[in-house]
Amino acid sequence: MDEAILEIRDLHVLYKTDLAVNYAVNGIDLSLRKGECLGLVGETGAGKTTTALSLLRLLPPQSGKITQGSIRFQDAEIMELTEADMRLLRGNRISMIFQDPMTSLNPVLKVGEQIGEALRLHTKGSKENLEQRVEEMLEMVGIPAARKNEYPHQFSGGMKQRVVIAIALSCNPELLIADEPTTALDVTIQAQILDMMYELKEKLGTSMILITHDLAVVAENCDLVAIMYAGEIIERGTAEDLFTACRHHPYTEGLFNSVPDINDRAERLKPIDGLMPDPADLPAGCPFHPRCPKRLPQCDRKKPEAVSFGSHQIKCHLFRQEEDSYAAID
Amino acid sequence: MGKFVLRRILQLIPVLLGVTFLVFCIISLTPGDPATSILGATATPEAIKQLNHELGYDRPLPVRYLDYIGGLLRGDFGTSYRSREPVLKEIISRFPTTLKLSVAAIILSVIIGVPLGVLSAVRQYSILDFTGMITAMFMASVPQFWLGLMCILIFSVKLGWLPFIGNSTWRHFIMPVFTLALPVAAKNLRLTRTTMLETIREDYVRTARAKGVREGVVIGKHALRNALMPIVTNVGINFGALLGGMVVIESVFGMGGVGTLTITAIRMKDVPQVTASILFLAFIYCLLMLIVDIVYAYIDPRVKARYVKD
Repeated sequence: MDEAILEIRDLHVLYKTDLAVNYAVNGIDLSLRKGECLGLVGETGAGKTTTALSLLRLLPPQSGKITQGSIRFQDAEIMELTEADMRLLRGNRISMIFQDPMTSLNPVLKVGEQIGEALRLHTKGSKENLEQRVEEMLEMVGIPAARKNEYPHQFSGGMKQRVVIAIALSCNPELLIADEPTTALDVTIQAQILDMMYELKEKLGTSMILITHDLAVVAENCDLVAIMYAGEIIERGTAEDLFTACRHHPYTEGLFNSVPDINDRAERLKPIDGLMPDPADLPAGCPFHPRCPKRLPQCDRKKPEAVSFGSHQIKCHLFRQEEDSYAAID
Repeated sequence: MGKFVLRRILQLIPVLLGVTFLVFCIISLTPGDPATSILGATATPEAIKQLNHELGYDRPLPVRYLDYIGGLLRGDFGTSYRSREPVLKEIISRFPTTLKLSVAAIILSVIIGVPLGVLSAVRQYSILDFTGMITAMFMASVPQFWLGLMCILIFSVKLGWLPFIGNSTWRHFIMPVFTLALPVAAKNLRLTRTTMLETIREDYVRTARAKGVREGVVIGKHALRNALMPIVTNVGINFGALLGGMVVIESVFGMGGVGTLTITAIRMKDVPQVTASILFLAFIYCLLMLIVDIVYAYIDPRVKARYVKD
């Protein structure tokens, strides 16, 4: 197996405002190998986007702060790079596709210019070369090259997201972070965009972190899955572990239950009761315990440790590490 | 685009007609008459009546107005009651001073206000931001005549660095230009800061950062251009206001411009002169607004698309 290209250890991120301190990410570990696709799943506010922005050190400078942890990308420690070195990484070796294509493109610049910008910064080559590459990128995401002189308002939502993807892939990044790339799009366009991204990823050998709250998308595209809740990864494993194993974190079960099943005659979905805890006031013990249907007495006092079943790992008091298996992380 | 400009120029006609009507009526409806103003309070009633008759002021208002409009259509802007000279001559001889002052002031206000506003926004809540905001608040609140008088007091009377009466050399223009520019610069600063604070938090600015673009380019190329629209509007409006509201500064610094000309004409009930001066300023103001709209189209392709469809 290849070595991990991305290794996150014990990452803590918080947002400080005048009113409160929001603990957005609370000690997550992740690792990703070349060519792998990791699905980061969770409700809105679970800390998925924060994690992604931390990788690029693009947290809002006024409020966001990484307080602890390490992010290793290839041989570099992202937390220790200078801003100038960080710029060499951004858009070049790590790039990101943002959630909302409607607002992610600059309305006053031609799309060709916006695609060419990263290329001009990170690659050498003549002007003609660059123009040619811009046209190639557009064709690759299924937009006629002639439209490079148009402005974002002349494109539909799905087309804009294709442009965003073309920007992200223009420098053949080693790591692509896709933050809910299809959430803002019509269902019919979603599949197209995802297929296209997956194809491009295969073609370019890019590793990918796919942030989503759609389990079906994960099942189709990802090798690894991590479920996030209140800034923690509460369950992780291979896609197979997640979709076939019989043991799950109660939150994951809740997520599965809230997906409509075509074979089920149930008239109503079973949503998870309650809301995600306030990140400024996280509950003690397991962060999920106030909503958990299988709560145990110790859940509101003691933080559960990760229990491993092979590659499958769950952070819940319901499960106990068996003696003969691999020791859980302290 | 050409069609749009043409249509806007045609729209000027009713606007300017409206301006002449309003000004003509307001001036004529105020008490007093031109002959009394010209001849003074000691003149005999017969002399006053005689002069009013010569000026044509004894005819009813609608007749005088139609006569005036008739003149306008023939390109005749009227003759001043006071100097008996064509009013346009007076305006044209005075306008360069007013134009020089306002153009220099507006350029200076942009040079000072916009970069400081950008810096304030980028370094929000820093010492620079606080000092900038407090100075801007002060500059926007003090009356211009006070600012002008303080300048004269300090730089002319105490230090003796600059001359302050007249408009013969470029050094005469320094103080009035700064006095005019600083309040506008303060407005530009505050407006730039506000709109920049919004745009630097936009998603596309984050996209630019995620491409590895340098922070200076992110601010200058991606954020500032999107923040420019309100700033351009503000500059246009203030340019118009400068042209029209120059009278205070012209009086303080003893520079004969269109402002003082208009005020004197109003005092003298010199109806043709007032109407022509205000008509002239209104025309320039409309032109400025048209230029602002055209600039919009160059800044934002979405605005341009709106014009092209028409």
